[in-house]
Amino acid sequence: MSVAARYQLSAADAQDVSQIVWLRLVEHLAELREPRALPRWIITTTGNECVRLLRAARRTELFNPSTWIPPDDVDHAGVDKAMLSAERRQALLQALAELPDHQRRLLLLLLEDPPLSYADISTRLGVPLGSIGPTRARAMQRLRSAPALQALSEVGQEPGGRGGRHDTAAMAGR
Amino acid sequence: MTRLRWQGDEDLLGELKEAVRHAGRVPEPVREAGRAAFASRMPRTGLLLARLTYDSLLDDSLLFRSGLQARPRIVTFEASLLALELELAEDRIVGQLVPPVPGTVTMMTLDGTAGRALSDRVGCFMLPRLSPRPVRFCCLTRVSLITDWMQS
Repeated sequence: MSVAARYQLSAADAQDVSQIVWLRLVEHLAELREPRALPRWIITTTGNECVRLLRAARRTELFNPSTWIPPDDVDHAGVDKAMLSAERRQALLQALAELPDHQRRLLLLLLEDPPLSYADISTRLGVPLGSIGPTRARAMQRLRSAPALQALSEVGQEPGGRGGRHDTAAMAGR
Repeated sequence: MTRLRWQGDEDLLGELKEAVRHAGRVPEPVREAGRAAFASRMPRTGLLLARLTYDSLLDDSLLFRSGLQARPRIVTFEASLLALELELAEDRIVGQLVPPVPGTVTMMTLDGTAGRALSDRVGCFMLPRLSPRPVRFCCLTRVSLITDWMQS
């Protein structure tokens, strides 16, 4: 759903996309032997279906440049902000999904609300208390260096501007 | 090394928490579609799964050419020994099995069979175009295949 949100699909369109992704997934599950391949498969398939749906919709709305008046009541800043935060969320989830299992499990427990003590986490994961701090540090480091977040930080770095990746998403979303 | 926008781990964890919380809200219709997809799964005995390998809607090289509006959507499904090419016009679907082979092509929806056609000796066939909903195609020839689901 976070991928669909990035493309600014309506709830109905997002449901259509999710239906196709589910249907295709059940057929391909047997081939996805590596569990860590699953998030990427879902993200890629969902992204493709979102683009397909948006382009199919555009084909049906004939566009005449000579009569088109640019809408002036669009809150561009608001749309950009929503898009950027959806994109950041998706990049974070993708980076999280690609962590090794034990690191991901630890981070998810660290995110619990109300917060769990290290002692609780140690019991739940069945790992020594002393290993939690170092595992957390390695997980955070790995998260920061994940390609999805690196790409994001490059976009965010341009002062007042947007990188190519964001432009593509913005075009697809409009 | 690129500059990261999260100053400390707490900052990053906080935003990750928000992302996970946000993603956790899966609407019920989406869950239902998942259950239905698993329920609709059927054995593929003797049928090769043909993957969707080309969709003109996803072909960026066609994006900025003129005449895109008028051009029908083209999709290709490929299995190891047989491919299915479809041209989705407004009112009909024209297809061809490659290599050309006579056989039966069935269009299926989640409710069941939605159309059937015989392919001629050059592998061509025609089916009616449906209103948008998930469809897949089952081709019975000397090599038989079933395609990925697609939104028609």
